[in-house]
Amino acid sequence: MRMPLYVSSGQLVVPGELIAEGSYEVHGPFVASGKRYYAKVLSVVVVEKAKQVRLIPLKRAYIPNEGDLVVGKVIDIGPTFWLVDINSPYTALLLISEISPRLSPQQKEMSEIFRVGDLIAAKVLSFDFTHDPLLTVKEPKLGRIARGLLVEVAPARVSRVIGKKGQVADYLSETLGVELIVGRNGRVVVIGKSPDDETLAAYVVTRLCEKPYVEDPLEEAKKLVEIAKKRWAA
Amino acid sequence: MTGASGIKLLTEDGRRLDGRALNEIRRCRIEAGVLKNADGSAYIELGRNKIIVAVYGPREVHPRHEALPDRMLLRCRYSMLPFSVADERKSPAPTRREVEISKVIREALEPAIFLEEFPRTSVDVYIEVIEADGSTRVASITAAAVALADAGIPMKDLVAGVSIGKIEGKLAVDLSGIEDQYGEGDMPIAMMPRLGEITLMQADGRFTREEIVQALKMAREAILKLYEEQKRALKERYSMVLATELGEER
Repeated sequence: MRMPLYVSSGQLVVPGELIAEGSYEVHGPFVASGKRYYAKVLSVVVVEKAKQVRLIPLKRAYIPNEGDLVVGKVIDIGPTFWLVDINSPYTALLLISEISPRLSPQQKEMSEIFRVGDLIAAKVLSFDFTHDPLLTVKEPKLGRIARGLLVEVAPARVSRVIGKKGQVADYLSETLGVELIVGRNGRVVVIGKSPDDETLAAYVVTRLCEKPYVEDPLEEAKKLVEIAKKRWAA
Repeated sequence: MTGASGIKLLTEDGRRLDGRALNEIRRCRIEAGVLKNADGSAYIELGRNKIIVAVYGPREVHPRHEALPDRMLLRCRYSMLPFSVADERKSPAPTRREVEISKVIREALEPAIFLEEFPRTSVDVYIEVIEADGSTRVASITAAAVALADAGIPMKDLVAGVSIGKIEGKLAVDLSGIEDQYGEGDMPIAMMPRLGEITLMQADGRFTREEIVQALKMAREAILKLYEEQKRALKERYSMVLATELGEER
């Protein structure tokens, strides 16, 4: 039986393009019809093993997932909730019950906790497309972000700022002396001791997310830190 | 022989006014990702037609009550710029024709999109005709599909369209403005090229059963050519992105 692979690593595929035929393991957005695999969105192909193909989408809107850490912006205050923009087609809700046991607070009390325009670190409590995503700030390190530099990157590429088991984020905060809040929604906040530290870290994060695909994010991060340090020293 | 209008659209050796053969499309060039502020975009030149398409989405639906609980809302707006037509300046207000074309374009694109992927969101397609010279609705569809792919919208296939017309009793591919005006018929057809499924088919004028069969065959051939150009445009846009990142440091 013939089991052809129609693509090669680094190639770009358009929606509807045939990827492979036969017993393949395909990761990323694809459609299958029998044993034929087709691309679903504009993606870069990475052939990982002989029978394993990964499709990396070039653009993707952020779709909330339960447990995701996100960086949100408070855009409105409702009677019992805050409306939070999470850089997604779906606006999130943070319910007052997540913060205080009082169910009908005064408007004034609500804005004493979070005001419109505040940046918050939050976790996605639930989301199933039928209702707006719900957020929580109950865990440690969540809540209002008082200072730092906000960097916006493509949501499709933000995972490389975290790396395997958080390796990249740990490396960056250690070598650059900054704290990183990496939101899955493509918002990264760098909090450093000085504005210079923050700008340098922001530069590295931005550059790290420029390429459609990087093979080893940790190596890439190390390279970028070198480049950034040289630039800043000059 | 001349057509019903009495205007000669074919030369003695069977060529068309612009020198094309009957089954020949005009020069077509597509460029993907021409706008920075849109989520996806494309520019097409088909002969003298110049059309730009911007896609926004998936995004929150405004007004909110228009949101659909189980799928994405696709909205299209086809509009011609005042200077896009040869004769008198076109009023910028949407005409009945533009409203109708917006609708048929939406219906031609819809079957290709996985609308159920992002319920309660919208994708908005804005089509601006900068210069028009016949077959603008199908050229708009061809460009809109590229813009949608550029925006990262999940799709089954691209969509490409071409018009088949009748001039002096003969079928001709990709009508120009003058052929559309003085010919005996115009049949815009759009297909998903890989799947071969028809998503738009309209016609004015009279066509026999045999002519329709022949028209579909001619359209399929032309659409496959346009499909190659669509793929080339998308790949070229991103090969540039890939090339600039390889090695060289800024």
